[in-house]
Amino acid sequence: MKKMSQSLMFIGIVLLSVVMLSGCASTPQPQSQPEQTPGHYKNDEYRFTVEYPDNYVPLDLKKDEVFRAANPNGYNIPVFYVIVADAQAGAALDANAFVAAVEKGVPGSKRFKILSEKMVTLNDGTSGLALTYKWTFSDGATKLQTASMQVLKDGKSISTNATTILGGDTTPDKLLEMVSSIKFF
Amino acid sequence: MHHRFPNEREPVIFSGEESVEEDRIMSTPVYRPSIFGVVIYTLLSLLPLTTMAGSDDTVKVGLRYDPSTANVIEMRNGNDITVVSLMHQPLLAPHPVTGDRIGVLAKSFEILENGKKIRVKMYRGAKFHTGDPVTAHDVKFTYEACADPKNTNMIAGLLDEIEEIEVVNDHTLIFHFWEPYAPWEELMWLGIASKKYYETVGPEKFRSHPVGSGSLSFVERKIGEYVHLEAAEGYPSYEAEGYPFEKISYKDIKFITVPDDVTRLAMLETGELDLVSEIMPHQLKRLKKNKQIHIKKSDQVPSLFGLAYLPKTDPIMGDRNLGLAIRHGINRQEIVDKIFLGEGYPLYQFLNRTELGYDPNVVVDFNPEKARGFLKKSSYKPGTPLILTYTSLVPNAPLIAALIQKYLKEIGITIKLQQLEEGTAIAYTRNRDKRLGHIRLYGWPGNRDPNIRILLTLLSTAPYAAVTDRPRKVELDNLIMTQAREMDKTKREATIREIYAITDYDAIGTILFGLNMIYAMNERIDYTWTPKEAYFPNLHTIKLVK
Repeated sequence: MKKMSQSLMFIGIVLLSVVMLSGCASTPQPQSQPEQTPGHYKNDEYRFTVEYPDNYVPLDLKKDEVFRAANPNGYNIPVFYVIVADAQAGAALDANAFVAAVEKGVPGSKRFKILSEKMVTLNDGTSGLALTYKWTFSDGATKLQTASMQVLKDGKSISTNATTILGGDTTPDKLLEMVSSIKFF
Repeated sequence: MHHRFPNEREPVIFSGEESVEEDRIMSTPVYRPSIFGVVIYTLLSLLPLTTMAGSDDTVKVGLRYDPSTANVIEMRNGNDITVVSLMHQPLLAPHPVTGDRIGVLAKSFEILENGKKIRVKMYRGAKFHTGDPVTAHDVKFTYEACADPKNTNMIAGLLDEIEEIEVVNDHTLIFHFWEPYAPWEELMWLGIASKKYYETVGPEKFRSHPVGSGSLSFVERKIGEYVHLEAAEGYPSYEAEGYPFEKISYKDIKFITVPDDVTRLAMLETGELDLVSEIMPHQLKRLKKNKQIHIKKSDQVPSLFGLAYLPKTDPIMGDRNLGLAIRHGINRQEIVDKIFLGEGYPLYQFLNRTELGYDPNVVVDFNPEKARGFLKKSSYKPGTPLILTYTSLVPNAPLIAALIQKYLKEIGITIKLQQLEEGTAIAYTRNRDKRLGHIRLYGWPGNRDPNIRILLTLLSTAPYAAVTDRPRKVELDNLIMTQAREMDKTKREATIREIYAITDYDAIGTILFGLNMIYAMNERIDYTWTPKEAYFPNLHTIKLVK
């Protein structure tokens, strides 16, 4: 009883938030990841780096992911993941198309709403689409927010993504900052 | 590959009958006052009562946790609700006596398009503390600001049921929902902020000096110390049908943060505090000796504790006969009486007393003989240890777990106890990790409506569902989604009871008990807890009696 009141809302929020966050990828194909410097991921094949909080722990990869790490708070939120997939012919940087692809990748997810979208120029001059959006997980009760940066380069769609719950301490700007750390070399 | 969490440790597995366990139980912080608290108490006891009493018409409320904000737009936890709800009027508020939601700013609701839209007509005459009228524009502004992720409001996820809000005129608006949302009333308690004031002063000023239209207005907040509110001039400025607006009987109220339980109660006894809640039963004996302290209790506050069975760890936990054996083998009343000194009540279904669908006629009798009969019919092999996991989230968890171990031993089930950090247990739950054990002791936060808990725990596809392949899975999932969209309360309650009938039959899990809310006040004031509310509700109804 005595611990209830404070923990109630916490638990309520957290259980509300029980995040699958396998999100944005379809069939799970767990793979372990090579050792990385904490807080820094480097992809030699596609020649880019990203930065994330160095206390995050790596997680098994889902389909098309080349990197996944999460805040080790028991709920693994926020989660940060990088996806490299073949770009469809004629693909363009388009927020609605990107979000539609996410929805397709997470069966049962719904209520996607774009909160912000912006075209940016990355360090090497590559164009990127930075966007934030909220959505509902397939259980109908878990509400999420995601920031993504999408780049189309050399026939590939490369996206950095950070997802957490709605109602937590993390703002969309913080997520956006994380996904915007991508740099090509 | 297993990644160890920073706070993760090897689980402690022990029989519960060894002396080491007794040491662990008695060293839990639940029953033991801190040395700091004892010292403070001693010092306070030496001071004359009159010096601690403060102003005669100031009410002082002790809180264990510091409110994180007085800004409705940035609420983070339950204590914030207590403070904010006094400064802001909502569309619906709990009636102080019945706890039912009554229109305060809302004069009427009209359900349109089978629940996809709800039209709200507002009373005229409500005014912010700035003197500006409360309008539909303020409602739209407040809801949208609270739902905006950038404000990190704890209810942003809940409010995401609303797709958009349409202002029809100054006193009429329409909530557009993504889908019909059965527990829509649970979204209408949000205190309304002044759009004009917010846009005039900006978010920083609003954070440091918020403005609402409630019975009390903001004076000052000192982080880690107190929040000070005073009776709002001119309140109430209109009448709402069915809601008992009354003039505040005190001049001002201070919420004083006192984390230590012993110190908080000592301050109540010395007169430095007037009102304290969440008192543990073992603390009552001392308080009862003080004739200047009035103790009250409510058994109508959301509270629910139970055992989750985990078939993912071992399919045997899906065995109905084993489930029934455990259900009938546990003496719930004795747990309440021995551990919580009678300050609670047995529960038998997966819902608390104040929720829609609660049926007081459903009882699971404590019957060891019957339990042994079910156990014989089960596939459980005597001597096979089942691991019961508990965390500090449940008060007195080690004692409860030890009693359950004893009951189940008496009917022939071997239980090993495992204590985990809550974070580790949650991670195991999410990952359906077998290290979580066979059974988990849990507590569920207080809600008026069961929808969220049902969606998150009973839906077979839900992340935290302990049971994902029960025999009537499809039927149960359909009922769950039906209740979530059913706008007719009678039909919805019937659907919810069908859901519980299925889960009761499956017997994959056992509900144990709920606890009373115990609160106490000094003789200067009188206050009664509003039923169905989890956090200090309706403090504007406090009466100064001396």
